[in-house]
Amino acid sequence: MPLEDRSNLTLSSFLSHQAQAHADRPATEQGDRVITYSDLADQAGRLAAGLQSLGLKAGDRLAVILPNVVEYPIVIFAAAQADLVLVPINVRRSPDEVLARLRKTRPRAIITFADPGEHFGPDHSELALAAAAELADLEHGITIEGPARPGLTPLDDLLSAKASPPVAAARPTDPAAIIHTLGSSGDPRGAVLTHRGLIGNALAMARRLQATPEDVFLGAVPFSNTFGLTATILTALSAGASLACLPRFSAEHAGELLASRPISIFNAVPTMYALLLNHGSHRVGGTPHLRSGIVAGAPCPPELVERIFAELNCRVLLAYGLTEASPCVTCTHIEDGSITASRTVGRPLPGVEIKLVDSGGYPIAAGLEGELCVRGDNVMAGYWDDPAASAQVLDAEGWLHTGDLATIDPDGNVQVIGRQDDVIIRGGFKVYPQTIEMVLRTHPLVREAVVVGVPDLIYGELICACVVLQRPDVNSEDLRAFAAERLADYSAPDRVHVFKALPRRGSGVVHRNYLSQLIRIRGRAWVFGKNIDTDAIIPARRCNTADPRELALYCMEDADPEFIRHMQRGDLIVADSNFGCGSSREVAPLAIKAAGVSAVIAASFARIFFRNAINIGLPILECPSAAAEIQPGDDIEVEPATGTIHNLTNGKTYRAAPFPDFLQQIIDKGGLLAYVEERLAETRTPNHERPTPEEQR
Amino acid sequence: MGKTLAEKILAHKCGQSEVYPGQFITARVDLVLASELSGVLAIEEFNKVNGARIFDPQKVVLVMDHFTPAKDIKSAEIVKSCREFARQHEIRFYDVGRAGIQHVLLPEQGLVVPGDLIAGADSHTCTYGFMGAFGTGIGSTDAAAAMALGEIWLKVPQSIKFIYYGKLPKWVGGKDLILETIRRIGVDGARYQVMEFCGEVVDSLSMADRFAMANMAIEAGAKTGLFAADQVARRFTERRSQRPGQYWQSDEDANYAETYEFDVSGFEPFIALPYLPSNVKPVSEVAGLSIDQVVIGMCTNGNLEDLRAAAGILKGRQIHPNVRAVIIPGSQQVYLDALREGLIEIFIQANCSVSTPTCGPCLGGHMGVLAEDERCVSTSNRNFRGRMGHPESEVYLANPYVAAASALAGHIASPVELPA
Repeated sequence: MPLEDRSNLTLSSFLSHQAQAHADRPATEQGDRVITYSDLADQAGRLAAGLQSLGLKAGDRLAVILPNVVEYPIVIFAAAQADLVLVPINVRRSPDEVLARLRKTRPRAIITFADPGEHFGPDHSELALAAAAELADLEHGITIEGPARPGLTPLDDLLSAKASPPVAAARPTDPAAIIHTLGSSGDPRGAVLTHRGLIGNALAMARRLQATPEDVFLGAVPFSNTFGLTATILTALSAGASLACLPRFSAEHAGELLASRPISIFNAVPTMYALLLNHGSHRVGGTPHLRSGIVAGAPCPPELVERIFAELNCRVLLAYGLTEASPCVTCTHIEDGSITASRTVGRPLPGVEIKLVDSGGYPIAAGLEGELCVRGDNVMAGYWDDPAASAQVLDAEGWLHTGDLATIDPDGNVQVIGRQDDVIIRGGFKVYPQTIEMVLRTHPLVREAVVVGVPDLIYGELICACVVLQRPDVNSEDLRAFAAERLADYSAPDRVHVFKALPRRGSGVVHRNYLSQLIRIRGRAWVFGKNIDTDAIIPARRCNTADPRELALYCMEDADPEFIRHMQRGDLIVADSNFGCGSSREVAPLAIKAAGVSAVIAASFARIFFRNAINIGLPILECPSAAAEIQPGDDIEVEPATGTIHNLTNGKTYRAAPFPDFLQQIIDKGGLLAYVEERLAETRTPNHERPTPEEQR
Repeated sequence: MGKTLAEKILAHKCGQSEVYPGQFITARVDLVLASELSGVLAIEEFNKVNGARIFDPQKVVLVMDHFTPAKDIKSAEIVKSCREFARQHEIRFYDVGRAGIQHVLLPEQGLVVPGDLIAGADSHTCTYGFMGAFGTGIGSTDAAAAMALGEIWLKVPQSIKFIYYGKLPKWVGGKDLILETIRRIGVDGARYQVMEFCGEVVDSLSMADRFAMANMAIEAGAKTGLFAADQVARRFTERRSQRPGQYWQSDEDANYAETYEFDVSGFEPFIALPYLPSNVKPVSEVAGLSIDQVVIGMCTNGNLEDLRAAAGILKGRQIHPNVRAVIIPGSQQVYLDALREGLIEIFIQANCSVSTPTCGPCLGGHMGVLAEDERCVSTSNRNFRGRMGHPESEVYLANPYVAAASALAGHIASPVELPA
């Protein structure tokens, strides 16, 4: 019976089916080690027996803190065969973060490794011992490598157990794994995923990839998350393909493997492909066998997809998913046209239902933007031991409310627009500002800390912490180090900026979007010359409308017809002195702001355009030398807060004239209206009665 | 160190004894102004501010002049929203039939006096410098803020002095002086600076001539254009307003970024060729170029004196059969005065179309938009590509004499050449 016809499998029955079908074919490999399907089933059975011999019982949790090693799949299937619930934890998490997850799931055993810490952060065997001392339920520490240590059992000892392998009793709807994700406040939540959900998702992904036993998958995304566990390990195995394990991703290592091994499918977050392409190693050794892969985990720029298609000759599929959905919800098809393939995340997988709802939870009309909801076997049973959190995202009809905003085109392809909250996605890792803010606020000299994401071509977003200090006795680098010691390495702030005050909305809440613009803006330069008169554009565009908003749509297009068509959000405008005279008033700045431009570099502070830009909260840097030397299309990075302009194309750095304090106040508040609101409030409220910003929040 | 006229006005408006170029100040405004085009956005912005109220309803003015009488449904809706806002907040509102082009209308209504600071959401707010008031264009967000606070932020500009001496020849007026000035300094020659106009020629200029000059200061990039208010300005003001003005003068030792001198004795009428107001030549150099349309009036040359000038040329004649002419008085009052003086009859008998006051064709809105390859002589202030219609149409900027003479000739013509 073909595997895809058997929807009611458990991980254990799935493996025994595959071990029979592909017995001597390689299932996994790492360096010289190759494990066939029958070896995998055999070792999983022996480890299951070993785990049972330690006294672990059905339903007990087994924590796993391992890099992408060849033992990982053995552990997954051993846990299933012993009816244990797997709790994978990323090796890059800090000791505190690991402990928080262990406290929550109370595992009886932990499988980790004794790496000296050079590559994977803390010594996890030490960590396991420390955790065992603290957590009453945690009775067993098991290591896969390194010297034997008192209190820790080598994995090899369990694999050599003589007892016969247990027969799994779990049903397809029973929990197979608890995988942690972060709630909106940054606290970890364990999504309980079922056997049926994981396997169904993997089978569907294998079909979208058109994977066959001839394929070799590169196991580069962490096996501890669903992208690694379901979409990579289980997807490869459900096709009868093999999986090459890459313990820790680097562009160099990945490039070597892609050149030396017949790897045909490379699942990755967009950052991995960007790093690979930028590293250039693929040009040396080539990627002779690479044909596809799933790109997910973070928004993927269409340009990157096009580069992957062209430079790697690899037809990647864009997918949308989330831990709570095991993970995959939608995915493009290999046959899709280039627009669908690069600008959407495709259509739902078979058996997965989706819908968009408005803020009230009601379905919205076709073509409009709404919160994406998902229903199907792949949706989690709930959050582990957290019915309140489960009820927040799972409704009575079984819909999972993802918190992601999306649209669906007439062909059913989904475009994800953004998050409903402030999550930063750095290199595919979700980073929650609140977690980092909490850490920074524990520093004695930090009065306020707000963390925002800023655009980055490689990582998608970088993490920027904006702090207000009690006293100027600590510098940015010290604060960065302070946070890095206490956080997972990928969630440590990339940059720390010290502010005198943070921009706030009228309500007193920090204006995060504006803050992120202030910190850093990067994009291509559009250069406009003298006397772009938007008045002239009214008739020139055959748009002699009295509506300034309608006019706004046309005015920049007339200035440069390529502008609207090709600009990206975050692009910059370099303007000569008389740019936007005439009745441009707000029209030009509004138009470019609406189009997504996030800053203007101007030769001179003059004309209505410039003051209007400031008034609507669009930073303008006055810098004649930068304006004169920047060429159209240059890659520019600006930091309005410091007045720094880096031209990454010509390698020059410019300093803009600093804004006078007076204007900085308006800019810091995000525009003139917030300033007006505050002034009006001042006139209404006597000084002694005025609430502090803290009180306002 | 002495102070310029502009520095004195701004110091007074921000309550300081003196201000310096480059200094950022917050100044009290005497009038906040918007048209329907800028007003609709200003209203939206104003409504976003929690608890905002109009700081002084008598000092906030909305003038419906750009696309009025409403040329389409969208214009009608925009004007309607301005009308409703004005009613709700009881601010000054000038509607069709009771209005005019804002810069002609407000001085006429006595709402501007010398020494005022006017913040207008229209770039030609610099016009009020003709009577010694500091007017400057602001954005709609600025206008919303000014409506609520009664103040605006400003960077104190440097001033440039323009001295005109000699004897002004016949057919040469304020429009020619400003065109030649812009030709000399370029369209960004006074960028973020004040153009201060003075000299013996200026002293003898009519208010309408001064109006045309100050109106076009923005075309040289200026923050505003200023004349010191003299006896002529005093008489003009006192006939229209009960409010006393402040008659500031620049000090002898005031500091100027630059000084330009012009001997006007050799001037002849000038004309700005497409597509910049600085692309200026003597009319004689381009005479003979065939034209399709003439527009006389609007804000730059829409005062009674300007209509008189045109009517003087057109009286008893008919315009060339290949040309259509549109006359646009600057305000209802100018229209009525012209009617009483018989000017409107002259225009109609000359086969000109006479329009209600509106900015209309100046910005390619309505009432005389140009087709491809059409050429127009206009007394307005801008001739950018596509400004008055099709991108391949052309606008030539000139004074009312030249415009009227060209309408008669069917080509660009100087009034000097007209048969007696």
